[in-house]
Amino acid sequence: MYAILGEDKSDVATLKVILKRLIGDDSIKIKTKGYNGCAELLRKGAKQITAFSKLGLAIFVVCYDSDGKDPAKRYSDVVSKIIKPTGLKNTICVVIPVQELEAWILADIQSVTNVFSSWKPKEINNPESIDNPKEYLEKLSRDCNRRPRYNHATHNEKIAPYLDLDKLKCKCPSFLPLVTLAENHDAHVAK
Amino acid sequence: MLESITIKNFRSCGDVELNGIAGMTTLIGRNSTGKTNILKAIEWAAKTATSSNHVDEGMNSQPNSTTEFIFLINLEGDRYRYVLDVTFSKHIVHQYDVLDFKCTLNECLEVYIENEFTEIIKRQSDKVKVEGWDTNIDLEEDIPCLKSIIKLLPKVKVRRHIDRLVLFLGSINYYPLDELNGRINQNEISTDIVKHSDYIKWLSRVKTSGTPARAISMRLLHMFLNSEEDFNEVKDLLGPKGLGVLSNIFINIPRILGELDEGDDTSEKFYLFRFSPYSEDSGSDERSFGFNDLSFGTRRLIRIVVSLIYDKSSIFLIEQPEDGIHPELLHKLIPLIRSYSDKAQFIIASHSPEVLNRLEASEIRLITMNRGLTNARKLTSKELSVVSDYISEEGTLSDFLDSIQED
Repeated sequence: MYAILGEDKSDVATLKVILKRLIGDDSIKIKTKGYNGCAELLRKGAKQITAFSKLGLAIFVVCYDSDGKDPAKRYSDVVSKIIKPTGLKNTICVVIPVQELEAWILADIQSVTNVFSSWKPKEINNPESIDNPKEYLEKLSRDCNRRPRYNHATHNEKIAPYLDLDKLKCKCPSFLPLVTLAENHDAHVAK
Repeated sequence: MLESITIKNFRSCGDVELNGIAGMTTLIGRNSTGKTNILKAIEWAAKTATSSNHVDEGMNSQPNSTTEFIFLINLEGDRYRYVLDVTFSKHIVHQYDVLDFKCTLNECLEVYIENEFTEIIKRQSDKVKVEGWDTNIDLEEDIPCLKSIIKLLPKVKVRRHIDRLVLFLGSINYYPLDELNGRINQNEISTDIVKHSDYIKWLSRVKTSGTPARAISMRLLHMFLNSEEDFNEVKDLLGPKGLGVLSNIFINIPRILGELDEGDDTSEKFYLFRFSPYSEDSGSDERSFGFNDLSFGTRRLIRIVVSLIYDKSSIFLIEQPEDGIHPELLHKLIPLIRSYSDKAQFIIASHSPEVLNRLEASEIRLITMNRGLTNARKLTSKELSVVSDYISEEGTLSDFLDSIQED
């Protein structure tokens, strides 16, 4: 019933885990489509949503990193290039992580210990203020001589099951649209 | 790290330069443009430079011409320029009426001191001049000088520089497609049961020859017995919290193995290797398999990860890492390799859009062939500025590269 589109395969895989946790039901069917970058997402997203809709999927999440640019502009790009062209009246949740999705991991960075048992980092209070959170995490892993090394493509979705979602709600305003979507899950199902 | 390499007169590489080499550099181009020749050239030069043996005619197919390699290397702030010239000349051994090749070497090692390169070793044919040593050393014309100097002049002032260079060059390794596919020489076939005595022989051979081991079972066993951290790192990378292809690797020492071969020592220890597959959908598989019973793609991933952790190569020269690997896993493999690119450099030859789309435009080298000669170039500054907008607005890096590749 859900589909998640994003500019990267690891983003959509991570969002899938998080959305299921927010809804509280691991059996929910979620299809994902991760692209090779933002341009491909904006170019192909509308047609993909249309195709998913024809397959019976009804609720969509589109994730587009702001990468340091104005999140409001990013939001309007998604609306104009992906949502409006579909002509659909379905529920479409737009998620614009400030900087990158990895800021959500920084919001509860201590969850990494569940994947890297010897890595016990200190809490970060303002994760969305960190430039290039992906690079920040990878550098932190490298500097501490972690074995194995963290890399976003492999490990984000492995860390996602352990994230304290309340911390994300507090520290990452960009997370809240997804929360709202999940809170209305029963209403979506009833439709 | 290697900053640049110039290759002259090696197979199709008439005059090829790769400069600005970073942690990851990828060679792209159509088939038969010379990507493999570049990778093989780098390894051949590095192995030749650090050999104690007569130079093998092997890879060079240009008799009566000089093949030249120029390495620019930066090792923790110290910069080196190493030039290796190899000339093969044909001659007839009249006594036996046989065509033979005579090899002559010229070498030069310079260190960058106070804004200029200063020569510390100069070798012309059979004469070697070493900084800090008054007399020339005599060497056979076709034996590389670096290791010879270490042996003959162990206390020479510039020894430190030579040691570092030999260590760096000696750790450059080429991983051809066949090797990653498992088609390797008979001495290095991966087996599921290894005798301890065979393991000891293998270890001794590897230590003596200095060439990297290839057999998966032996490398895993070596890590299992000698480096728990390395062994666990391999398991973590391949396991459910990593790439998710294996749930476990078992190395057991069985008590009873059935009938032993005649003459086998009954006190001989054996090691039994088993691998348990994992999938995201079904979780861990209770069953376990021998290495050669795993799927092609799984074996390939295991080889890549084991090489990454065990080999400690200074430069990994890798052919087509994408072969046999599903795009879903490939998009994880390249970032995984990149996460180790501060410890080692990776020079990769690839055809895969999935690989290219995980790279920066500055990491690409376009390889083309013109009148039988290989050319290599970076993207121009104009192309780099265009590609940045292109990726933001139009498409992917692989789409862009496809559009600019020459006929």
